[in-house]
Amino acid sequence: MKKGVTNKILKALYIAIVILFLYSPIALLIYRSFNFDGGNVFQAYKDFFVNNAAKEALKNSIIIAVLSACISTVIGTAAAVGISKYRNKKIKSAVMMVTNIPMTSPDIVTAVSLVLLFGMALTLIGVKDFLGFYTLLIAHITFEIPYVILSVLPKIKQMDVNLPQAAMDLGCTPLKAFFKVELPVIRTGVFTGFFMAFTLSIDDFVISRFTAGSYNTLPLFIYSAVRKGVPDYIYALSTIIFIVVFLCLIIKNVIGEKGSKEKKNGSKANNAVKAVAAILAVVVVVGVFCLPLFNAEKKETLRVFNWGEYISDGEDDTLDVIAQFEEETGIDVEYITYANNEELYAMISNGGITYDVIFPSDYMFERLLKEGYLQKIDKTKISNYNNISDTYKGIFEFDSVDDYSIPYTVGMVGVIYNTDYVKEIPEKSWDLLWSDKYKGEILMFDNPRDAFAISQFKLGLDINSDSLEDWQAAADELKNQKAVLKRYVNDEIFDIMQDGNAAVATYYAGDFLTMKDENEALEFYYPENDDGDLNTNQFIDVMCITKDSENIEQAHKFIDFMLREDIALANAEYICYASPNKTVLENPDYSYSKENDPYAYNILYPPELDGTKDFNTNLMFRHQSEDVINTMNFEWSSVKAFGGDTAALYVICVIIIFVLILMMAIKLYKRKTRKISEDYYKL
Amino acid sequence: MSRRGCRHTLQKLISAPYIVWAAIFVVVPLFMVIYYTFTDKNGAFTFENVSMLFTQENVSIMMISLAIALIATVLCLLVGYPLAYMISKMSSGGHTAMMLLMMLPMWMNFVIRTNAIYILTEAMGFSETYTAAILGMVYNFLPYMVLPIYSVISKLDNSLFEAAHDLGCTKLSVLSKVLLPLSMPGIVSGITMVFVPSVSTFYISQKLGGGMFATVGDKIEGLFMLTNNYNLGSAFSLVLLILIIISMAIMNKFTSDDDEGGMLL
Repeated sequence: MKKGVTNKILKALYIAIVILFLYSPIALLIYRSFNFDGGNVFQAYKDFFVNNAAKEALKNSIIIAVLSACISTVIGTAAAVGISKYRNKKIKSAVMMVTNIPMTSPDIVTAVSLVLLFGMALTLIGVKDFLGFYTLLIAHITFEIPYVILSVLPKIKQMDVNLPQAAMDLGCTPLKAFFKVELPVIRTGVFTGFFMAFTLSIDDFVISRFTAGSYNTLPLFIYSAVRKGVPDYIYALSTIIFIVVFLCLIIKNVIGEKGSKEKKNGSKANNAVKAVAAILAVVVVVGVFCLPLFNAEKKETLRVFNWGEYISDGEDDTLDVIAQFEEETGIDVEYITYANNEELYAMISNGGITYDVIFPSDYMFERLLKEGYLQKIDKTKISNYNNISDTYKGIFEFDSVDDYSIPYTVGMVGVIYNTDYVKEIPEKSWDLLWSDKYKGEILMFDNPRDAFAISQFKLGLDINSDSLEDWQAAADELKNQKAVLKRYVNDEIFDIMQDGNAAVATYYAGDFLTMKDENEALEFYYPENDDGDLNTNQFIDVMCITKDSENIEQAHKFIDFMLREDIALANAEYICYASPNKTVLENPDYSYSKENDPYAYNILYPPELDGTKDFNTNLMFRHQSEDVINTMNFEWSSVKAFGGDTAALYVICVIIIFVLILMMAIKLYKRKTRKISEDYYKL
Repeated sequence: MSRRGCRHTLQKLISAPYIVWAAIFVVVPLFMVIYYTFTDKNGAFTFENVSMLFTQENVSIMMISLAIALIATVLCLLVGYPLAYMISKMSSGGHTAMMLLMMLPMWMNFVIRTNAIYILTEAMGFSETYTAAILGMVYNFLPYMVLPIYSVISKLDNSLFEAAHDLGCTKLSVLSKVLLPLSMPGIVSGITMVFVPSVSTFYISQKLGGGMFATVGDKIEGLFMLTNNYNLGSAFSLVLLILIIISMAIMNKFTSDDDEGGMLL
């Protein structure tokens, strides 16, 4: 008796621990969605409801989920009914095998294979701008159908095969027999399939990431919004979704129980099925008719492809530059973001989506220009071109009169350290990033170009070296560094440094100021070489128009707009990088000017950037030969795969495999002995 | 007779849209992956992508992905099986509530969930490790293990266990001779549903592992989205597919012999 009680307590404890495990991150999310630092407790919720991009993404997700779930339910149910009639076992198993493919193959493989198909098929017929709504819809339908089939098929198997036959012998048409006899029996399977399809679609991230092009669904929006750390309104949004789903599931369960009680009432159920079928049909028809609308909308939009958080977007009472542009010109802007230059290049060179205005950095601009992906900018249409400071006009030797590029921001890379960890003032060198003293507390760039450059600066090598040995040496230095690193970062650096979770990092000067706003303990310096000269990367990000752009007028208007005094100021304030626009520095309202904030000014506008010293183009990245790029990428992946304490990992795996083999052996042995004894009994 | 035959063809015909769809969007893309694996940028035939897979780095990437996924799957099984069993033994209200609790986290966005776990691992001091990545996988995929096992166990007839008991089985032998063999189909599909996403995920390993090690998923994502090398990316995808087919075949060996088996999902 006592044993039973302890048993029960142990069971309850076990379940409680698992629930705690599953819900602690969710509790954290909900907790963070409320503002307990004074002010409005529901501030994050308010922010969500004014965030148009988030609402748009939510709407897009729902459109895709409803449409793809409806279409896959129709196709899938029909398929299941058909498949169940197959007599030929070989054909049947072949079809089922194909059905299993999207379910058992990894998301990423499904995504990649579809991208390859779309790429080849649509470029063959000459469609350039193909990734988007349709490809996303097709991809979602493709991975949803198998789930519908597999939830409908068992229901059909449970049904008496003679039922529809009997109905037809009694004079029903096959269609009528299906609706009157089969559908009512399999309807729970159809519903399950529909809901599974809907859920999978709403939550899908991997397949959408590859196939959505510029169509922004909620998971994709969240993915790009959380790069710098999760904004509070995203927590609010997840809390809302959580509560809505929670309520829906409860209601569904309550109704579900009621429903099962009323099951005997056949005609009612039949009516319900008809009603649902009718609604489904209407939704699908309306959806299909709506499709051309999405398409028509697309043609009039200007597509801007920019770095994440690289334009003033209306958050925290800043100016919403895109909305302002749309209002003033009546041009719709489709604004899409990327995380780094390589992603930009991949998107441009693979085609799939046509962008109009892009914002590459210096070396990537050079590459895109040399490979013919850009078109000339007509400067007579850029009336604000003279707002650009003379220092930055024609700064590229390969584009000496700014025919293809208009400067947007400039800046330099430096070292950020937390004075809570780093007590003494460090030397101005890169060695701090390799320092044993801060082992496990150092953050490093997670992209090859910046990471290699830092290694090259440290070793005193040319960052644009042609010699493969130089790149090799830099790679070795990066491998040496790995032992002291906490992790590689892109924009995750913001959260980690702001929360004081790392001692040393390297990033762009402007971003340091943003971090310092949140954490006073952070400090910054620009590394110098032994001669006291600046020894770090300087960059210029420029605005360009792509070769394939057909909205040339609008693109010029947009670039001109970005150079306008008030807009350039809003962007410079928001992005917090140095601006090549002289009207910004002359503006008395500019909060990072020499007068308003000397500390920030000295970091953003060191002598090399404000025109007092020459801009040293040797510190800028240049486009490299194919050989160098390949070497760099190859060496970077070997840096990423280098080291790490894998021994424990492999030992555990060997143990697991050993146990598995043992179990198999025991099973085989037992079967053998059983067979022997069976044979014995036969005798 | 002929009218019936005609009807049958008609009924079979309504699966035609799906057959066409699957042929175009499932079968052809797989051949595209194979085609890209064996060609270079200009479309010429080459074995280079395949041989690239066997460089030391790439082999270690694949080994690490496999190891992490294997450990995560075994952990999910060890945690999930007792849970599924306990849930199946609950009252009807109890297991509805538990199922609801298991499903609910799946509705939270995957990216946000993973970010929340990162915050927790950071607070507990083991962020950026293999352990963190494995924890993230267990967290994200545990429901995929519990649900299929639960649905198989809950359908088992209780009198089976009573009979075994009456015939002199100890608790342990009821478990090993009756419960485990009968729940094999659920275990197999649970393992499949956890192992496949674990071995191919890229966001979990990037976010929780901090880029300190690379996995096959990272590699494929990088090759497609950053370095623009579709051919090598396809080769990695093909490896992933073959790997999964092999492990599936091994799993099927475990079940298919004595029960009806072969049920993957």
